Amino acid sequence: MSDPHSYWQELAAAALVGTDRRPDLPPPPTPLAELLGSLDNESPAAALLSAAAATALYTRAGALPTTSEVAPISPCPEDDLPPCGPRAARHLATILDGHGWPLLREWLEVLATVRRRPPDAALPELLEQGRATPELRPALLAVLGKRGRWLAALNPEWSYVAEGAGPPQNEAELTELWQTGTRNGRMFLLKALRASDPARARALIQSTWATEKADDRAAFVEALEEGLSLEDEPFLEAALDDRGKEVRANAAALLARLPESALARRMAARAVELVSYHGGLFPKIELRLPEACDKALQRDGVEVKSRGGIGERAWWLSEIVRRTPPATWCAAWSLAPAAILSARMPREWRDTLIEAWTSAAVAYRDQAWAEALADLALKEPERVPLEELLPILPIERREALLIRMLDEGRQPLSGSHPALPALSAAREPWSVQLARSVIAALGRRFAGNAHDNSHREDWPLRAALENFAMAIPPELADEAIAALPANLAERPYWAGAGHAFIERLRLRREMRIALHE
Amino acid sequence: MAPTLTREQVLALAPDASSLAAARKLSAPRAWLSAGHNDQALWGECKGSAKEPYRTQVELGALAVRCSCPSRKQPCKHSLGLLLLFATEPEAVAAAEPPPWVVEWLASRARAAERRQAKNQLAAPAAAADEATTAPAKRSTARTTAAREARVAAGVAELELWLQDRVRAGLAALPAQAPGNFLAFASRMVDAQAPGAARLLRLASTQVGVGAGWEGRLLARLSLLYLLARAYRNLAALPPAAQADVRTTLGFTQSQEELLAGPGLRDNWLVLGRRVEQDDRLQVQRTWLWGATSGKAALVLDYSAAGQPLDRSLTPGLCLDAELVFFPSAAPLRALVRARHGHCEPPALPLATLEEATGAYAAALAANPWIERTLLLAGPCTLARVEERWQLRDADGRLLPLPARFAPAWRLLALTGGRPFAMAGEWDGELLAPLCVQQDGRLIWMSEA
Repeated sequence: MSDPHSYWQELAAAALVGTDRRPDLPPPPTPLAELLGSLDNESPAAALLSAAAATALYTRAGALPTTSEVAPISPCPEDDLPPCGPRAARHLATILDGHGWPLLREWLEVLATVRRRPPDAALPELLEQGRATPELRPALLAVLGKRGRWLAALNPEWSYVAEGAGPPQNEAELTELWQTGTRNGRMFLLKALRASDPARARALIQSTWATEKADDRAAFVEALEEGLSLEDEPFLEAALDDRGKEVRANAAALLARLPESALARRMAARAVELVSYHGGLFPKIELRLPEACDKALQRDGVEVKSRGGIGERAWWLSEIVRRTPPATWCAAWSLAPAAILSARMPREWRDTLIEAWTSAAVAYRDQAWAEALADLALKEPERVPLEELLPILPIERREALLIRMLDEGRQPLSGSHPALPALSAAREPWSVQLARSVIAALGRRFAGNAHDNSHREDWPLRAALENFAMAIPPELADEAIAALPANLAERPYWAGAGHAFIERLRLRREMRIALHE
Repeated sequence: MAPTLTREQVLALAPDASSLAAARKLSAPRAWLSAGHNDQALWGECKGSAKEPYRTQVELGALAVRCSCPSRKQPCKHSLGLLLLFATEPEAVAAAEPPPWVVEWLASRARAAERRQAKNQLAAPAAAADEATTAPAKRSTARTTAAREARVAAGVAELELWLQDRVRAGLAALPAQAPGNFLAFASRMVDAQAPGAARLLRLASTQVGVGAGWEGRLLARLSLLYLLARAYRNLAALPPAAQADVRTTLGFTQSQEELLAGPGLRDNWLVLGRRVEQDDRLQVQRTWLWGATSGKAALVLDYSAAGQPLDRSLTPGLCLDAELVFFPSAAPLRALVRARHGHCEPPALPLATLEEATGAYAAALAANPWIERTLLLAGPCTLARVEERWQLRDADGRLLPLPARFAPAWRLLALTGGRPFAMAGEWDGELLAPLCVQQDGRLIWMSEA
């Protein structure tokens, strides 16, 4: 006597081979016996189908929900902060719909200042965004609240929340992560650790150095850029003799950012042999090209083959100057950077020298030289890549420079405006004053003849608008929007970028108002 | 009373994702030159690409929309945008006297509704009074009906033999022939005017050779088809309600006019959710309702072919004081809305353990063996994760499996905070597909995808 389940199995097995081969059915189980016995069936096949119908219904109707020992999910703790209002929630939905993470980060940052938390319904998507975009994590972790943290703890994919923005504090866990992590995971760990404990990060790299592949070694050396200091020098100096070419190049590049490093001193010694200053009524700078790129120079990171479209010997010279701390020249010649830059130079080398000095000022973060080069940029914008210099200048100085470039000459802002590359590359919001100068210059671009179609092809400016919309303070939204032509729809080339600019600026203004509700 | 709309309810009205994205842009106050509402309707003027602004209006009772824009989508992005604005920033759509174009539209809708109602009321007595004059017509209808019954009877007899032949030769032979032989025979059933049997054959064909133990799952489906064929042969001996189930499952349709003339059930019906499925070339929309006083579940079906819009007026979350008429069945479930009288506050969903809830399914199955899914109401429950699979867990620790990739799980957890809730879902005996969840009186919808 079987139970209905095994009876069902037997029926299925019989159906699989067919009643021609297996005409006799097994005896039915007690609960079904009476019913199945009362049916008159014309053939074994009919009997099997009838029995199957009854048994299938019997087992389906009788199925009970399973039980499990799995512990229920414990409820989340109550949050202290109230969620944001419905209008703010709607803005968040719009931003998540495709405005990119910088705007999302801004929304999260404002949310933190008004001491609110995101709407519960948005938590999964926010946690997903944080997983995909590490840049968002600090702002996100600041507003997640208890519910967000509780939710993140339930999904292993969101473990970054529990780990916090920083690396694990536990030594064993750290070693474990380093030894077993993926390339990306290890790089992320290194970066985070360099910010808090640079020596520990370096020690991690050294702990497995001998067994790492060349491209991993190169990436690890590159990661030392974060928190770089003279303490890293012995390790980097040793890496100059590494087997991997990229490892050597990366180590040399980092040493050429430390003015006190032995590499910087070696370069300075070479440089002063080649470049000389002659004072007097008409001061001038003279150059001597290096004879060869010897082994020592190559060890310090200079490649033999020219890559700058100039002759080999000129290339070696520019590489040496680029890796020499610019303060070297001031000390050697007892001159300020501005005086050096105003000296006469052989015309064919002037561009090369200025470019190399700019690179050196950025690499060694030399303020005095950066200021002097920025002044030169105002006079000869085509010679000095200003956007490279700006990040190392103090913010007031940086903005003052841009304002002067925009206001002096009242040139309309266009793709060829010398300030545009720097404005497009801006990563921080602008002051009201700078924003007003940008808006005025933008307005000049569209003022005048409605049939002037020169801006049609101005794609650098069109592309820059996206960044402008993030950099302009939202309280100036109306002024900025007024700078665009009123009849955007009639200028199809501009309509897309223009409307996106308007929408984003308004959203940034309105989301602040909504978050304060 | 004007219903309060939530954002989710409005989003659920959207015919597709691109309409939704466009509507979001139009859901800001500045997109509207004017906007207002009263108890009956919402209206607004929206600047579009045409010279004149588009006039958009929504009748709140049935959520019927009209817009002067040329879009063929129903509802268009302007209507959706206006509804979205009303749901999220009601203060931007102030209470006002409706402009003439709204008054006119509402009046014409009211006239149309009156005409419909008058026609329905007249239908029954007129039929009785004009018996004599309509008798010849009736006779010809009777002839077509008899002809169809004969065709179905022949087809179903053929089906009975075909099924026996499959089992005689053994299911093991099928993977080499399926789905071709199933689909060919399904076409025969369509020709025999038994489209319901054809559909069950197509569903069975998807089981052939799929996964371990497929022969058991296939046998279960084939045996129910066999039961259907036998039941039709034996139809006259069955009680009327069971007869109706056999005929419905075979694909006989019920005259809606006849049905609407029968008795109805007035209640406060809460719209719990809806699902759209593709069946052959047809879109089938299932909308689930639950009556707060009667405790009855109702299923409203809508069909559309070739991209015609489905009726979206039963929006999840609406609670209607309405009269429903049930199709005859031993386990009545499918229904039509006969009359809507107004809106009411959503009631609290009932509480039941999973054992009680599946017991209700067993009772329905006992009454109608071909029932495919029922409404399952359970609570208090929580979500549980067992071996990478989401489950619904009740207070007794019993579990029912949720769909394999249950995407809304994280949102549901975020919204309920892991505290118990009541859930309504579609239950087919194997999987529970959640429709909505209620916690502290608040309803949360699962997406319709």
